[in-house]
Amino acid sequence: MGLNENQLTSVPSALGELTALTGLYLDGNQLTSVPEELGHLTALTSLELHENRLTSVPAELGKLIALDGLDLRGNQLTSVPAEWEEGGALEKSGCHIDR
Amino acid sequence: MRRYIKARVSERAEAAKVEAEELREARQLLQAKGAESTARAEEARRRAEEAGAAAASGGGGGGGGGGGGDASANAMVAAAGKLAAEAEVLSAQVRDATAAQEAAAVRERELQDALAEAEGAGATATTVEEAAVKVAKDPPAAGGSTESDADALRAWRAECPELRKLWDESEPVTEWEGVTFGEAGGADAGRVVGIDFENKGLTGDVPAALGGLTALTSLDLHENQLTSVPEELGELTALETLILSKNQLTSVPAALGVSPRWSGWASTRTS
Repeated sequence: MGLNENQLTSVPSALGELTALTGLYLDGNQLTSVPEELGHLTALTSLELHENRLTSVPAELGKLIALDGLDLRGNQLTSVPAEWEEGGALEKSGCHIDR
Repeated sequence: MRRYIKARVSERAEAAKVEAEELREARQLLQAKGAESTARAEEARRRAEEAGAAAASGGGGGGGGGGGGDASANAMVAAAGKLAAEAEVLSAQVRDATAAQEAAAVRERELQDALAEAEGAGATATTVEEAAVKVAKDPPAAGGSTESDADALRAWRAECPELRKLWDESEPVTEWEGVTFGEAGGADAGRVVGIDFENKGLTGDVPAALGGLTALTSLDLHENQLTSVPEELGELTALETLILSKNQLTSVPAALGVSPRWSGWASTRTS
């Protein structure tokens, strides 16, 4: 689902129902947060959140360990789920993380 | 909620109708009273003039009934004055009655306008309610045809100036640029299965009619100037790819996530 490069300030938590979704592109918006329900999208292999205004992401997103790539650049993140930290579960599973 | 609104509208319409009816009756009564007052005033004026004329001839002639004649003339002058005063009062009543009647007529017209509006709103409420019932009974996802798809495309064309330039109305919709149809022999033969409008300068809102394209598997509207997409996109239960990148969307409808049938999502990156 490509919603990148719009002027979204939020996305509906109902997107968490799309459990077969493999790609979610939310980069280049004005998101200050994302709903924790996105943690249900366990089939996701691509999640793009870069170039937003995120200061944190919900711990539930740490469940998304099928991700092949994760780009978090261009935000104001002070913390990420433990699984996403350097040397964490996600990186160990072979995911390339851009911070 | 719709039922409630419809009930309120018809209640208001009924009240307006009753009030208009009452005012019409009141106006008719005032009209009759006005006519009666005018007749009586004219009669009074006529009699006052006669009395005045009689008094003048009685006084000026000096003879006739003598003292008795003077008394009679004085009485007639007095009666004339009284009748003139009465005519004045009746004239005032007629003026009042006319003013009240005019006010009533204005109010009645206002109420009739309100009634027409209320009836229109009631009709809309009924239409919306019927449509809701129809959708509930016959979900668009279960229906749809090549004809309803063509109608949905035409509806979009009608609302979007860029599409009017792009799509020639005199050509069959199957020739319209950016639209892919299901192959003959397949389950979706002749249905719209794909829409690709990359960078076509589309502006404004994507219309609700698009929700009728129930065989659509791919909708790519990236790099346009769209400001909103309708919640009816949630009815596109065959959709696998949705690309709205590079537009001017400030929100996306929650309905995009509510259909449990909507599980065939693929990912397509557009940058």
